[in-house]
Amino acid sequence: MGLCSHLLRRLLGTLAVLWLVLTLTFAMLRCIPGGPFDAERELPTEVARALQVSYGRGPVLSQYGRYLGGVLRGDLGPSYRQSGWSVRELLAAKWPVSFELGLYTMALACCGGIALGCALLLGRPGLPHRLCLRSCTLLLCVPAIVLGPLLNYLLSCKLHWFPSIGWSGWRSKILPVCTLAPCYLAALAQITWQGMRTEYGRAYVRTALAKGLGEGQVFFRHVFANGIQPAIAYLGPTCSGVLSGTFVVENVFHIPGLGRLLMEAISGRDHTVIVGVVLFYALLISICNLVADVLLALLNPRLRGA
Amino acid sequence: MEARLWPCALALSLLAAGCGGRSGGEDGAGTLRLGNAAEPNTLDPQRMMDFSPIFIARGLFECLVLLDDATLCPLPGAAERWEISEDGLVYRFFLRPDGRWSNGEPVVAEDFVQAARRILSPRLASPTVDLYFPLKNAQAHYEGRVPWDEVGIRARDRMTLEISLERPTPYFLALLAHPAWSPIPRPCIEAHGGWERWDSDWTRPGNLVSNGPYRLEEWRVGDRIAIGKNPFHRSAGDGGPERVIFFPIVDQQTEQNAFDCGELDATATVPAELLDELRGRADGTLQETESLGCFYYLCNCSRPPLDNGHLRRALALAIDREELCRLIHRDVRFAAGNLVPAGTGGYRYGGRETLGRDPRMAREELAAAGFPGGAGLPPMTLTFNHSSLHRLVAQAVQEMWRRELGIAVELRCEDWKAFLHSRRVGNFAIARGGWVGDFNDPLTFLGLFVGDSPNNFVRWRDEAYDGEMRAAEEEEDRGERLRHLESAEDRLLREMPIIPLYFETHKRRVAERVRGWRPNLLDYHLYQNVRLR
Repeated sequence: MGLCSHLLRRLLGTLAVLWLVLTLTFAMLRCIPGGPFDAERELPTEVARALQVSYGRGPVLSQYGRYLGGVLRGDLGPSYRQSGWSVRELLAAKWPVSFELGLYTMALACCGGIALGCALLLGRPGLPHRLCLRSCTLLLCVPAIVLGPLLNYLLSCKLHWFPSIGWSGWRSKILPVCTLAPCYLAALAQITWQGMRTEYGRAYVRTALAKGLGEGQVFFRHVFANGIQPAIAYLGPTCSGVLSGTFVVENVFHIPGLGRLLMEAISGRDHTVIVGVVLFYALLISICNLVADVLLALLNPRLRGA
Repeated sequence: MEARLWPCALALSLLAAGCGGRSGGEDGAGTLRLGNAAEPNTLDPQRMMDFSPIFIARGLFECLVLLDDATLCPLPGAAERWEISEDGLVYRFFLRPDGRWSNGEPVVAEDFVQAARRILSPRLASPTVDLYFPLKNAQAHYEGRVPWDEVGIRARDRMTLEISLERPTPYFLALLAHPAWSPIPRPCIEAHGGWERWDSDWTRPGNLVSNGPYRLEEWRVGDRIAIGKNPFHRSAGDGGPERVIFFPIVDQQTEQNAFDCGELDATATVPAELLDELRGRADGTLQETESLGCFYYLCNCSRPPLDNGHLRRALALAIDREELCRLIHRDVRFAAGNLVPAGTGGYRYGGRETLGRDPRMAREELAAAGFPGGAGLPPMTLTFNHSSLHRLVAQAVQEMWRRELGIAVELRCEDWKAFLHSRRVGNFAIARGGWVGDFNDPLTFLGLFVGDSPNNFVRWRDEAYDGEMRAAEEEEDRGERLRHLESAEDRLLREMPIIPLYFETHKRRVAERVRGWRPNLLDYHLYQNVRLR
């Protein structure tokens, strides 16, 4: 019952957050200089006026009212830059690409990172152990903007193992995923290792071991369930960020995802697309955080009543 | 031992199977793959003004005339021949009897009339409507002063189009090769509500009907646009590429990587830092040619201190253009001593005002402006949009002004749209400018600085200049007309509302397997003439 009311509260909070995000983004876009129809070649005044009329760009408040009404009906409006395309169509075309990229990245990062974290915990201290820890630090320090072009140059241009651009066929997906995943994998490995190590030092673990329970049983039934919680808390916001698109990787590998859509919309002042994508991000972040909360609550009974 | 090794062997073989072979194999040997720099905002030929959609439109739509991609001379396109009246005011075009839309319908003269009718409707808000203004009464109709019946375009019969001009226009045939002059499939556009609406989906695959050698097959926004042969076009069996794919790759290095991987047959750009290396290569993939473009700085003439002509000239004379060209092009040939690139529509500026570096004269001009040695000069800002190239040029020019004139100019970098806004409202002292011609005639450059031009960002109004431009427009004799244009450019360079820096070039890398890709001033290519090995 506690969990259900918690979920309901969170859902209502999410709606308020979405409205706030929409309103703030809408307002901020009207404050920055430059509009969607500014171009290198100046439009004659009458053409510019006709365009404003065509897209219903009147007083700001009436624009806001119309836009809000449209959003409530599920209509995010037309793209100003990509004429003939609606924001909903653009989002529908782009989010599966970013989602797929994010999903593979997080799958690799979760499997690799949690397994590595556990291995670091269970393995004996020594050179391999230290090497693994140092490697994690190194991977955390190499940003995608460095790793992506490097992998692209070496493995695509020089060795011709993978395509350098595009998002079709499984071979084209390896380099983008391998560019994005390492830093999350390393972070997850370290967080998992730290979380598990803390749990291992607790009295209840020593008691369980003293009572004669097997090390594997103690690890999987007690230590893992508690030690993984920091990693799950980390995964909530991280997943939403990765799933919603990463501009750098999409740009380096020419992937038609949400990150590029947003960046191009910002530089082109495509107001409707910007608000649409930001709203989509806000929704995704809310959902991911909600899922992380539910998972944590399931793993930790003390959080259910909170 | 062997049993333990088999998973490793399996993994290795999977990796080998996945990694083997060349990348980009999904596109067949008959496909021409081109980098296209940016995502086109539309494929409606009457609403496009950027280069990325225009490159695609040249495959999709065929205008009355084509241009020879070596000489840029007009060639028969949708019209198999034409007649021009002796006074140069009436053009009669005879359409090809075998001209077909991609749905098999014949292309008729009325399709061109409808195109004019649509673009001249203010509600369409076409950014290239001015390309129709040489038509008799076109501008007046656009401004609501005369009815449609009085506009100088009509179908004499099903296959004959007659166009009457306001005045003789020597560059009119060159103008007709712009996609804005494509015929329009009215029934198709109306079926999708796109006659006057910008947000119609008539340009989507499956909806778009075109009359060019190719038809639209695929449009994945941000990924690619693919056009395939139009089976109804006369070139369908000629052996050109079966498909052309345009990749809107924004990042220059990504584009170079894709070319090096064999995933692109031609790039849209080449970064300056690669030029020296590529010129030294024996593979001959680098194509460089002059373009119809000039890069210059704009001086805001509407407010002090740059309302002072002496100061503008001082700034212009202090710049070492050859040094700039070494930075940008790695080649000094493209230093701009004037505005209009040589060879534009047969024009070559030979006036008295050609700009060069003259620090002594620059200092004298600065003193004549009332700021000897830069003393008393109010702070000035040089505004440019975010780009590594523009920053490089701005820093170099800033240093030249400091070195030669002793003046400090502040640099201000703005994002693209903010920059356009600043330029439009006149919120700058000096700003990055530049122009790439729409058609092969000096008017495309010199027309920018006529007093009432919407692109006259410098807010410079000069009666003598406007008078020469008017005289050039009204002049029927070609030689006289060019002389008027030269006098106008003389005036521009004497008053210096702009500071020309260098001429733009077209730089592409074109793969060895591509034959018949001929570089030219307009970067104009007919894909059906390209051959792939």
